[in-house]
Amino acid sequence: MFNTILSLGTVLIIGLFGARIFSKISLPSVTAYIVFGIILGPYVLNFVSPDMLRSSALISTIALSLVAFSLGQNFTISKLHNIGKSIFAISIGEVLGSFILVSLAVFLIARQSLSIALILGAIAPATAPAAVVMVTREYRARGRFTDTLLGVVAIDDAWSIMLFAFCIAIAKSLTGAHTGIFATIFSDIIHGFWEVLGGLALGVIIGFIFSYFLKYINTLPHLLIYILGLIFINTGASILLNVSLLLANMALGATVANKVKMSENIFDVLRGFDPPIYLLFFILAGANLEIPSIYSLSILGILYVLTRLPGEMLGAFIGAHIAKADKNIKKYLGLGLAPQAGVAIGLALLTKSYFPGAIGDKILSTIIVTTIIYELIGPFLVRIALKKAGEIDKLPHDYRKVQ
Amino acid sequence: MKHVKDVMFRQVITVHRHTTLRQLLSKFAEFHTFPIVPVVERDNILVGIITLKNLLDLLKPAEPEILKTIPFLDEKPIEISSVELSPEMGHLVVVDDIMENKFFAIQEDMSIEEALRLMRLHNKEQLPVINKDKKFTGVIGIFDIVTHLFSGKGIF
Repeated sequence: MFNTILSLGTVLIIGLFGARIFSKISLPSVTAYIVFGIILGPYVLNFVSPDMLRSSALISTIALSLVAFSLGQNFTISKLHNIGKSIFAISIGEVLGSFILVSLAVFLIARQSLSIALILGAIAPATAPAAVVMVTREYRARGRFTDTLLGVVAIDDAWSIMLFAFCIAIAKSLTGAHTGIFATIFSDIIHGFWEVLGGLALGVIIGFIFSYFLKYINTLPHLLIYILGLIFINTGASILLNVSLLLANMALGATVANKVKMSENIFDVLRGFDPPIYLLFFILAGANLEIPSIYSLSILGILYVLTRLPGEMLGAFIGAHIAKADKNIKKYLGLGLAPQAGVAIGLALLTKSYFPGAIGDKILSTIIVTTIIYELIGPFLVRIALKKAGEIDKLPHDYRKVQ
Repeated sequence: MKHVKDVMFRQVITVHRHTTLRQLLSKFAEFHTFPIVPVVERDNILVGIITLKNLLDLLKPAEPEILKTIPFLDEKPIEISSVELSPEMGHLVVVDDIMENKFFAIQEDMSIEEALRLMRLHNKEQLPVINKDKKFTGVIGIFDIVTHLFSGKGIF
């Protein structure tokens, strides 16, 4: 019904004000975008043009490249040093815990293929930092538990993206989605290594090129164009060379952060550009949801919801135990990791572009439905975790009283 | 070719790590805007800078540095009506708590063209200047370069 430009404008404006309305009821913009995406999508108002829906894969690839690039800046020597032992151990434990539990449940109970089990398992640890941060701000939570929780949610998307890249490489080998000359197990292993190491190497090389030619950049607008150009070249070359575009962009971000003096400026410039891209990305994710699939939330989705959180809690418990963290952190930190949104949907959309058939459809529809569930119950669970840890020191800030 | 040291402003007010928030604010209360304030150690080594942004950060709840790297995080606007500030902050908060450790300083023998390029690239109107021994020698701003150009043409 709408032409592409008209629906683009409508989507941006409705997304903007929708997020403002949602912030009044303490839900993050990401949730608002997904919900308004569903409302604007083909099953309800049908304001999103077919052309725009078809561009979802392109938008999500760009959005995830930017996310991976931005997460890469955490991997500098000084930042890794600052992260601290317990955040490191808990985040690794939580990622492995949910990965193992979800993968096993999907493989053994739902009897899905190993590829689906590995990919869903790898998406499971991703947390929605926006929702967690929103709750800690709203209840003015403060203390060691809160700091550890925020540190873990900030870093675990990076681990999740790495794990996902490995699992996609394995899944491609298992399903024979790649074409090799020697179709043997040996070539599958080589291919897996190529996808992972090749991605990292590509990102580092582009990162060196970036820092070398940076001296010819004179103004902020040129800097923005320069960064975007190299991120797109990095992403495009990854697709062309069949290496992981997520790892390539993370390696690019890490190389820039390590090599360029005052690299914060570079990441800041990008922040001026990416909000509309992220808005579009989430609205399209909502619009892509097959509404009928909600009614038939399969055993797969139920298993995912039931195993993800216990996996995170168990993994966080073990990680906290190894790092000798406080009792409260051991017991409740995993609960605070319940929200899931942006990165999970992005990874599911990316899976669909690698596996356009049944595997991709199954994973995308499962993740979109389970994300809505986790994004709605997640903030309540974070609140419970903070309360149990005794770090909610004040009554919730009520905006109506201020007026 | 003109260099930074020919143009820069040298009579800059500096502070130390242990300067309190109260001392800092009263020093600059009579200025129309808050400048960049260099933080130096006893031997004049530049160890940090304070800008308006660091003062604004005091009005926001403390959050870990690592959150800055998270994409699609909603920026929390400062609500002036509900800011938690106590009078004790005046002497409890010192420059060391709020200053920027990572900052960009330029060498005094750099050309003014290059200095201007860096200011535009980093979106800064002023940058601190150091000599070869990393000692603080002054501040250069776009204003200094512009007035230098005007005076060079005999306009004032």
